Amino acid sequence: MGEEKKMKRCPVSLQPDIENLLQDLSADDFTVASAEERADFIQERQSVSYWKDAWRRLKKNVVAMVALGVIIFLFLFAFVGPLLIPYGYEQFNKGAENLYPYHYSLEDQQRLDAEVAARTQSETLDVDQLIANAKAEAEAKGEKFTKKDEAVLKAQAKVAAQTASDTPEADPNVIRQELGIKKHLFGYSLEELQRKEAGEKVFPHVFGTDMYGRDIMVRVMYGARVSMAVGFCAALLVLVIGATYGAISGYCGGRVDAVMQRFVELIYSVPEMLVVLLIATALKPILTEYVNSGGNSPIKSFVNILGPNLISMFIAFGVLYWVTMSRIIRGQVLQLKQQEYVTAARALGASGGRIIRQHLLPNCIGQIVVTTCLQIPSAIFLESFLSYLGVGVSAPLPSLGSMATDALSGMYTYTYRLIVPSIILSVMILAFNLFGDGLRDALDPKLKK
Amino acid sequence: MSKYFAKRIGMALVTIFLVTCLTFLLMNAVPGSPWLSEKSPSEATLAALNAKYGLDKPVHIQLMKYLGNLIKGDFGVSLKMQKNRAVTSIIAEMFPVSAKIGALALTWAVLVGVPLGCLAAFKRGKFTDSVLRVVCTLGISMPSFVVASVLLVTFAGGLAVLKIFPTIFDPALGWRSYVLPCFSLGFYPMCYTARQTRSAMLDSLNQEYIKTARAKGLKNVKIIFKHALRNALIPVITYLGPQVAFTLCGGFVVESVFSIPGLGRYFVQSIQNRDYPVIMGTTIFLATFIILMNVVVDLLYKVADPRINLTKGGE
Repeated sequence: MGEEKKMKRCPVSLQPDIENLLQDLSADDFTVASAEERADFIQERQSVSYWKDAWRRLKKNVVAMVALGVIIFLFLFAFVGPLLIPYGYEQFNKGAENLYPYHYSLEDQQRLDAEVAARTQSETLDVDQLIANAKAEAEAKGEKFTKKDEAVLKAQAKVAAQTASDTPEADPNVIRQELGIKKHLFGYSLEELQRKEAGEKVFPHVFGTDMYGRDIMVRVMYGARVSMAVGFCAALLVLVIGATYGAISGYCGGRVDAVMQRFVELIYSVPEMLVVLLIATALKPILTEYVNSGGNSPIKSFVNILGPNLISMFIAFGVLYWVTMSRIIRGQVLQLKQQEYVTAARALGASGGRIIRQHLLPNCIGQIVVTTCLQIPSAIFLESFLSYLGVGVSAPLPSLGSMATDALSGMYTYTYRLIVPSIILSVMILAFNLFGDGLRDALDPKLKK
Repeated sequence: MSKYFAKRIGMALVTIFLVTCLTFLLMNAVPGSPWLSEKSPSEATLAALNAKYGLDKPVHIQLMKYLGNLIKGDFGVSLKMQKNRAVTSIIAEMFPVSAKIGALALTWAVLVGVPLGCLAAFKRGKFTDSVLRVVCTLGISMPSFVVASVLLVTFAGGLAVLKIFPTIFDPALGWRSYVLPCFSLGFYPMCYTARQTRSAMLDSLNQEYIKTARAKGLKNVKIIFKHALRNALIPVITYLGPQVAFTLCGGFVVESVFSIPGLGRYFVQSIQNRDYPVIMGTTIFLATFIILMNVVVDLLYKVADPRINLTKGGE
């Protein structure tokens, strides 16, 4: 036999010639490996789990890592930040209304106030002077200076004064530039500046305050908190409903699948924005009524903790937005259920529910994670949209969307009030989007484009 | 094909029916009534008003009556906002305003978005691609009110030098008042289209027939726009179909920011005012529009890619 095999060997074959090799080796070359050697052999290449592999790929993606950093920062900003700031989101800071996110030092502020006062003062002095002059002039000419003439003069002077205060001359901003006063970061009210001068520690209004003297930074933090909470909860809701629905539809197949897919198509053709608007407006009063009605139940206290606004938004989201997730899961399950391990599980008598939970869903975890992650920004988007229109998160609780609406009225004077929540919101959504994209590339390298 | 369309239309009617019922029930679940205002009317007046508009009957009877009228093409009359005016005439007045802005917005979105997507796909991994990717991701991360207000602050008053465009929409001012609303309405679709086009183009550039075209010595422009783009358009069409319906019916937010007297803003106001027939009418109008656009999308698939067979469930 050995001879025959040797004959068949191709002369240019790269395969090692075992026959010859064995001849070169003596029996001494074969010894049992020591424990050390064995350990070495096993450790040579550690098995890389799915998640480790994904994490390694993700770490290489600079954009995704920066986005993750931003998300963590915003998370701390929203959940830890308010603990560090001595102001509440509903706290009206008296005397600190309409602060800009910058201040002048105490002396400069006083100088500025004095200068502004002096200029407007001089205008008013001029009026009396003018009338006296006119009177003297009229008497000199031998004419009568009537009350009517005086009123006309006064009116003219008033108009002139008003235009003067609008003109650059009395504009504090221009005076500031003339005096060479420098802006310093963060907003302080006059009283706070005096307290600071006295050696007290005063926390600045980093982003200024609004027309009621509420600290904008705290409000933005709470707004970011609301946005994030909505994003995570809605994504979770979509995950649960969508994954269950999709998995059942895909696994059962046949008529069940057909009926379930018709329903999905139906929801697809519903004008979602309209229905979300309707649901949000319809449920809010109902839930409020429910919470305010007497009695005590775990559901009621749960609703109370989250607030009717948020709950109605979750429901709106849960009712309409799970369809995409369910489609993706269904597609995956349709493929996976043909695999041998599913047949094996079924042959062993596993129930449908068990197969879905233990075998099918864990195998499409990558898709599930990516879709859930990309659901977060779209939920935040929707929340800000609803709040902007005034049907989302309401009154006492701030939301980035409603803060932007409030800021619209003084848009040109207090631009920062509009810009600050807008930037935070956009950066948040952007970070989640970029991170989701990165996650998709990392979890499913086939999809990488 | 005709069987396919019969099925589609059947589905569409069922959807419209269900949307109607859903909206009707939701609307009636909202506490409050159209008659509530600062000076609330007397009990007798309320009863008379409710009787006149049939609001005193049980919800299911109201619904049946509404559906009956709907089949006859009667959408009812506005209860509050423009009292006793037919909803159809309100929609007929508001829709063209929204549609004009929406059409302009989508036109620029597609005309810019699709070529940008192609460019990004063609320059894959290069600097251009990275820049476009950042811009487009940023674009889909900015809610339209952010875009609109940033535009307002910069171009309509914030900076004196750049005060080019009016703050409030006014058709009398001509094209100037269209620029900002159209830009902010179209920015999101533009970025989304560009992203979709890019990923679809990358798929399609890897196909064999592209290699063939290249082997024949065709120019890049011809390969991209004639061969690759055609197949890459499928996901773009899928997205744009319903988007056309939405955008033509007006961005709710953009219309309220620029005070455009369009359908979207009116819908939001009608919800706040509990003007039931207006809410119903607008919702049904938009739902029908969206469903119609979905059918159009299916037809366009066939135009873009003749290999698609509509009659066999194209999963």
